[in-house]
Amino acid sequence: MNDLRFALRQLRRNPGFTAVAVLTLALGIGANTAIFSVFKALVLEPLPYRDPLRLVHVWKSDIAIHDFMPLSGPDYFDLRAQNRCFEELGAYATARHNLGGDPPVRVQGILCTAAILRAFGVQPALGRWFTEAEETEGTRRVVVLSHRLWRERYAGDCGLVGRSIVVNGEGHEVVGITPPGFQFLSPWYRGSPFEVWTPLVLSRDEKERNGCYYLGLGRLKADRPIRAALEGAQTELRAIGQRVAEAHPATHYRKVFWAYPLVFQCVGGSVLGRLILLFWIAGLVLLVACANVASLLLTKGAERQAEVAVRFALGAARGRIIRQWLTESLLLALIGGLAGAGLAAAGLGLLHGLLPGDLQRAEGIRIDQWVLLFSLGLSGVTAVICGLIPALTVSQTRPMEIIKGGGSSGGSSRQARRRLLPRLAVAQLAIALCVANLAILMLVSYGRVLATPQGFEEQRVLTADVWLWGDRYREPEQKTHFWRQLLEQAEALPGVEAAAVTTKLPLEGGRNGEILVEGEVFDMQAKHPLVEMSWVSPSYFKAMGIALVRGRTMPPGTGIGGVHEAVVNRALAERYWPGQDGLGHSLRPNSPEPTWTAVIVGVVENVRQWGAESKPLPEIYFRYDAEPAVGAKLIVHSAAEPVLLVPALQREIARLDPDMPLSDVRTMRHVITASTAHRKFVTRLIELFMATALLLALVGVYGVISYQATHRTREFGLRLAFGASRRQIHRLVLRQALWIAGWGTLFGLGATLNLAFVLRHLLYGIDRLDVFALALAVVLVVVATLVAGSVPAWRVGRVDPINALRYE
Amino acid sequence: MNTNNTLITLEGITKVFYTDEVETHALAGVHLQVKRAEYVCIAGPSGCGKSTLLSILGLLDTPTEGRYMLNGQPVASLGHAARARIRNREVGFIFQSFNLIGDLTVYENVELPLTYRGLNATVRKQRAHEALEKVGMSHRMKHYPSQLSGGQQQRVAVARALAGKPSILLADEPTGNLDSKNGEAVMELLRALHREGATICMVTHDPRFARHAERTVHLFDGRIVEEVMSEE
Ligand SMILES: Nc1ncnc2c1ncn2[C@@H]1O[C@H](COP(=O)(O)OP(=O)(O)OP(=O)(O)O)[C@@H](O)[C@H]1O
Ligand SMILES: [Mg+2]
Repeated sequence: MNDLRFALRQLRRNPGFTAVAVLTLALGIGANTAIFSVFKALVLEPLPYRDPLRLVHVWKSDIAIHDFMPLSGPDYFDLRAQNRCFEELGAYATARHNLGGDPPVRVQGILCTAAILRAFGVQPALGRWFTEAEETEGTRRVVVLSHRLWRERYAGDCGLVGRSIVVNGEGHEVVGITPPGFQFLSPWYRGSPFEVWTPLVLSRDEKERNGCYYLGLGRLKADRPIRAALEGAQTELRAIGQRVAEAHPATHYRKVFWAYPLVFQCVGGSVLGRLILLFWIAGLVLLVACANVASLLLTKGAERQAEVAVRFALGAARGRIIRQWLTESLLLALIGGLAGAGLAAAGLGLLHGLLPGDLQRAEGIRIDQWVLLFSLGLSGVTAVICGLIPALTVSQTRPMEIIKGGGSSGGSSRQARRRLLPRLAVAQLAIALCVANLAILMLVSYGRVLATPQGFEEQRVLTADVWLWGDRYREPEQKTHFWRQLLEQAEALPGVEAAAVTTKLPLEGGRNGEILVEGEVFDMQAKHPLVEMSWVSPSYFKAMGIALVRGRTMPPGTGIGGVHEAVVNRALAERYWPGQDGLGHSLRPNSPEPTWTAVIVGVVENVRQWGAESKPLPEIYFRYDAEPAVGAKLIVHSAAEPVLLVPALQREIARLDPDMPLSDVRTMRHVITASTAHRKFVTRLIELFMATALLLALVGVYGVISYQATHRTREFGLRLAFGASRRQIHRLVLRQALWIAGWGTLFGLGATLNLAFVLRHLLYGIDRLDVFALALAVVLVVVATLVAGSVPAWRVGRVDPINALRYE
Repeated sequence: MNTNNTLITLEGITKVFYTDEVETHALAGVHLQVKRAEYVCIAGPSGCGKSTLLSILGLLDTPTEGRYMLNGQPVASLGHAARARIRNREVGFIFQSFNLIGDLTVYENVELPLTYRGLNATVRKQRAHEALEKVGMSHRMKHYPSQLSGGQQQRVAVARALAGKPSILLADEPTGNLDSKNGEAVMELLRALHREGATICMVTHDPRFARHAERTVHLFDGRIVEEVMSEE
């Protein structure tokens, strides 16, 4: 009879015990498995490129710090001409593309130089990538499509390559299809996959030197090991940067170029730190589960002490007994691990629903053989954590106890058990307290983020993307004309209170630059704070619900010849003219030859620019028609439910241009939701972990108190027989629950004070040592303990003294 | 006395239990020799130290003081692992309350000590069958202990003690939990084993069974006060 078969038989013969232990472990291991499946898909999954570690992004940066500024056209040409260390080096920008057809759709696309697609080192499924000639203005218009788009929109038609399709209002020849599964990983990914690639035509014109909109992407040459190649590239990029800075001090003062590996930038992305936090907390949940199962195994050991004593008497060595018990816990843990993987698989849908939309490779999250291997590996660790102490305890059974008729009467292992069980309960409570505190802090933070006034109307504002590509909109007047018409038609719709156009939405980032105010002179050594810039129609503030604090909005005709009348936000006015109204002051770009000046005619309330949690930065609003952009957002303020307006808006757009799709239709509420999706993801999972930890701790404490109470039934019977009241017996049991709760709280508080640092970057509007959060966590834990303790207390209170004395 | 023929020698064995600052002198200087193929009975009033003596003989416990030679080897102060090994090879136990493992079948119970010895499956099977044959329980091999009567369980326990071919069988009131008919059957079994050459040390209260033994050692307050040779 080997240990494994005996262990199996034990589990089969104690279905209740097995079920509780397996479920407990499944919850603990399942939580970790779920997090691991995310981690694996986002971080560990190898990139489907040739030699992916040689792919680097090339950024512009201040010489002293490494920051991430995009490149300009002339930068790109300088880099391409002077570098020796790149096998391929290109630049790209992201842009929404209109695809003609029925219906017209708008998809996320990339404008890129020819080297970009070659750099990944993969071959197209059909056709070819771009050629250098196609980077030049005036050549044939070509497009590469994603495998998915080709399959779904063009039915996987192999004859598509070589044919022409309408992209952005103009015929483009399809020259290539990406291989299946190809993903263009980019730090500029915003939640919709890249589906089309068109050539990027960059200008060498020095006037464009400061137009930094492009991300450099290169492949390091394979002639050196990666590390050396990267170091060589840094040295070379720095040198090129310094040469450019000498040649163009006004725009490049203190600027250099540098390379940052694509893996670091795109793998795991912004969620990596949060995943590590979630691992921490899932680990804590697993520890609670382990303590729980350890106490189950300990009580099991008490029941089976006679068996162990017999084994000793028959000559089993201590190691042998420990091995047998560890085999049992290993088996238990493996079943728990499998069940945990099952739980994780079942919860995958929930997980996908919670995941923020802007994570690349999230669709690869699944329970595959590697994730399963992780669960089983974790099961092994778990088996040791929860099995070792019970195994050691039971191995302390003294063989001679057998002589005393079964060995149930005590011995050192019983004492060890009596000592250990309450401690395990204390440990569970302490950890549960810790998790509860973290969860409450996260929950309060999330609530505060959502409750923060954003300074704009959320519910009744609808926004949609419009991109004016192609010949119809080549001239600025053509774009302006389209917008004037669209806004007029939209405002005429019943239920529309205001309509506007803007180049960017609150919370979603955008363009910025350095400015000078009157009295300041250009000094290339002086650093200036960045100022955000929007181009909007004057109706924007009304449509978005942004309050005008002082002055008025921009009048028509402003911006001609670079002379603007502009609106600024309160942050800008307060930054430069604290205590004044700010009106009438003038601004210009931080450059030796300013291309524009602006006089402030109005001040509006702040809105956050870079996410719902960021501080509002200074901002200037220019008039949209001064410099109409290709891509812009339609803003519609509705009197009622804004989504009801969508069909009418679509009709109005089709009246102006039948090939023009209306895309990314959202309310501003959605914009806030998207901006807080990462926080929501983490918060919901931590809440779930907290509930699990509390539940497990409750079950654990119940088990321990119930075990102790049962073993004192005889004592309680005697006490009753000698005249103790039931209330007193009740209190005896509850006192133990309180003892556990007390120590659990104490240790939990200690651990919480030491662990709270893991949240330091994630809290919003609450201190990491918040008294209210701590108190609430303590209350939760104490209540759980008392609930767990009151059932056994009630039960022993009902003991009949006669039966109790007969007991045992 | 011929030392070659001596299986067990105890010299000045004492055992003191310390509990809550109370010292209990369970054994206070026991001298005892047991020869091979001898059948010794240990008798005495409750609490006189019979079980303690037996557990020291069976290496379940260590004496506080004194020398213990088993098979010509000093064993009084061996470590855990060594004692477990000797217990497994040299000693067969029979307990008052049978102490079969409820989750193992009759066959597996008998096989268990052989497993701890690391014997291979074929040898284990052969020995376990032999032992069960001897006690007349081979037809119940697949049963669990709870499906057997007390007498049957004790016979299985005897088979388990025999399976490892130990130097000595130690029995602590083997009939204590049995009715007189079953008790006698088990005693008859031990007697038969003795006739085949087994060395047996048995604790019993029952004077009827004490007569089966060649020698009865009377214990009182942790000392041997009298040794009586049987008339048989
Ligand atoms: N583990 C122990 N701790 C403390 N005292 C013990 C222990 N085991 C036995 N004793 C004491 O040692 C003495 C001898 O006990 P032992 O069990 O050997 O008696 P016994 O002769 O087998 O009695 P019985 O016939 O009742 O079984 C008793 O006084 C007992 O209280
Ligand atoms: Mg006894």
